Amino acid sequence: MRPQIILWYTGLVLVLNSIFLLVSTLVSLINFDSALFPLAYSTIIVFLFGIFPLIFVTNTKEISNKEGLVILIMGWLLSCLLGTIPYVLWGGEFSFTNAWFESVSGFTTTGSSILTNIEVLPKGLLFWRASTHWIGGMGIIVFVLAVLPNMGFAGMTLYRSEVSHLTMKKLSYNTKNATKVLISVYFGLTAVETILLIFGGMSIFDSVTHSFATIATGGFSVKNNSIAAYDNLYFDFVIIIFMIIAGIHFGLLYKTISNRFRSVENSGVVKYYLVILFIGVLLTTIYNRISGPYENLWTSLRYSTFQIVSIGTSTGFANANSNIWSPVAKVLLIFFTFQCACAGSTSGGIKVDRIILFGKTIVKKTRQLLHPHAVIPVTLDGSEITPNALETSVLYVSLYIFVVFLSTLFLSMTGVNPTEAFTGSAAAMGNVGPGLGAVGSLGNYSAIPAFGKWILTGTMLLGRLEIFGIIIFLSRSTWKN
Amino acid sequence: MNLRYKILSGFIILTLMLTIAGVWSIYHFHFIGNRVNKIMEGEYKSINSSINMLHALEREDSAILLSLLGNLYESSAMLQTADSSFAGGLNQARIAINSDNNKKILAEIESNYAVYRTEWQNLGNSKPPEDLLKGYFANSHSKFLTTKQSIEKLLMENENELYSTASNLKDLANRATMPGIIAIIAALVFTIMFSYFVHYYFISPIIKIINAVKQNKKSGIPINIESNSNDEIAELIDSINYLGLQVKNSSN
Repeated sequence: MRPQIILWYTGLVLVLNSIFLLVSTLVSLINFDSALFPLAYSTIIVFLFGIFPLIFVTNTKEISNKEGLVILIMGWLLSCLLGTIPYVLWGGEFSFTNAWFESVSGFTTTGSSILTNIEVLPKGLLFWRASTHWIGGMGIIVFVLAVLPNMGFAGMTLYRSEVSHLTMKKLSYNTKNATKVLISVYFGLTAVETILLIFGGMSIFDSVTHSFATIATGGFSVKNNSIAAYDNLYFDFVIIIFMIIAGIHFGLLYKTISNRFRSVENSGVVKYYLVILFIGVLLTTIYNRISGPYENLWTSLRYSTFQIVSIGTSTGFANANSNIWSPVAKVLLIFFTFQCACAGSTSGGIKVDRIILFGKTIVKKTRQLLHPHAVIPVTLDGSEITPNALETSVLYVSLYIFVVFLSTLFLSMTGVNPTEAFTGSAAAMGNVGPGLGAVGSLGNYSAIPAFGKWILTGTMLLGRLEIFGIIIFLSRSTWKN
Repeated sequence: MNLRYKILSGFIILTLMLTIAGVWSIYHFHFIGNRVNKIMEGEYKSINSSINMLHALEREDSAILLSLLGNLYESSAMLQTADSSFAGGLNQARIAINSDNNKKILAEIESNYAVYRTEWQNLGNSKPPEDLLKGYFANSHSKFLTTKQSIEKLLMENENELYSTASNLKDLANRATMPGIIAIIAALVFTIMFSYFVHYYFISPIIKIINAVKQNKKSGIPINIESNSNDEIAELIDSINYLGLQVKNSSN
């Protein structure tokens, strides 16, 4: 382990953060709001911290698996920590715990907020808040899809969960072009959504911040009532489309654009993702119409589609209060909070790929019970999955549920009611954002006790860094020379 | 990068962090000072003057009642003192005006008091004592109450303002101290990082050179030191490696 190399790469991450802080400072300067000094000071501090290792350390492109993992986790943690500076300096509702919650929620693209009144925040700070989503989303894309493969195959297996191994091979990520391609898709989608929202009459500032949150599947809005504040069908429609797109593997999206949609057509994972979303929307619409709050089918369809897609892609935007929905619709929301979208996207949760593998493992094991000597291969998108990968997927799902249970338990100990503790924990682990009850679609996490907020941020980080990464990071062998 | 610039950059960064935090804290503490001054010169003085006006008004009312009871000499003296005390309070409140609302309320007090004052000045003009008492309750007392209410309004306005300014002070103090706290933590972390780099890139290679030269002197082991940078230390290591090679060749 070479600390100087780790410092060099984390320095690079901090310089990237400082660029976004600088843009936020400029936004603040244009509006001459109260966040100008907090943002300017944060920009300088973060930049100085980032640039120093870049000046001092002689860079090397060869990094070991362990170093790669430590860089990844340190990068996230330092970004979250230094991301609190503008909030803490600005004051208001931001104690250190609240600032840490908001920062972790932003960078992990969770989108949960402790703010009871978002609209009092100056524009500069709102822009920084939205930027943390975008940086977080980009971090997943760049680090996990582009940087980690350069560390070799062994390093990649740690993150098999993030990029399905098969898809990774198919899309030949081990090329220098990969970063450029993925970033282009990320930028392109953000730009197109921004333009479409502006075209519909949303202000430029709101369009940019909401696009940041959509493409990163984050969910921070600049309005207290999220997207419901606009009550605009066109905005709902545009955001639904981009939430669905942002939930698809980014490499696959690129291939789809260059292959005229053939890649998405051929992907079983994407087919399952779209079909399950469709079924979810259909059932929620029907039940919300029959035993829910909506008086006509159209209204039920509008709100159900938005909320199911929002939760099913781990975005977390809201255009309605899901607390008043029918029980069946709430159960479906919980299911999507666990599942979320495809691997290789900015989405959180267990992910569609693993759910498919989990299902296929159950089928395989059942068949093996009937035919003990049979060799039953498991395939995903036409490629065979190794027994080791299957085992890892099943183990991951089990660990995921165990972490949600632990988080629920700890939250309950702080006095949070079981519904909020469970749905809040599941939403934090899946980087979704809203749960049910006080932490519901139009609620916030301000009432959660300070200790509970720390539990939730830990859960968010575990969800974003995919459990195994954290376990390996914390294990003694990682730190042994 | 040049060794000198590397070290210099470290010190410049450290100085910048502390200087910016210091300047910011000074700016905010100056701001807090202004706010405290505003409380002392504005809200506090205004509250004090309102209380003085209220006391003066009460004394005037007592003096009027005293005059109605026939104690004219004592009541006249008391009225004059209370009137001048009220004027003093009013003047103090005028100086301490800190908002448009304050200004409006003060104008209201002035006009109400003027009416009340005219009322009690005309109260004793050739009327029998029974009519005087009736006149007092019918006119003067209501004017007294109206004036009192407007003074209480000013008092309440300034008390609220005082509470709000004091609450803001807490936030301002937080803003003033936070950069300092952040700068201290940042400086500590930075110093650890800086000392690690100095140790890794300067001290460690120098120790390596010393050990290699000692070993060469003691047991003739050839000097072959690896460098991990592109600066003057790396050049020094290369030169020593070359020198070691030259010595070895000449001794052979």
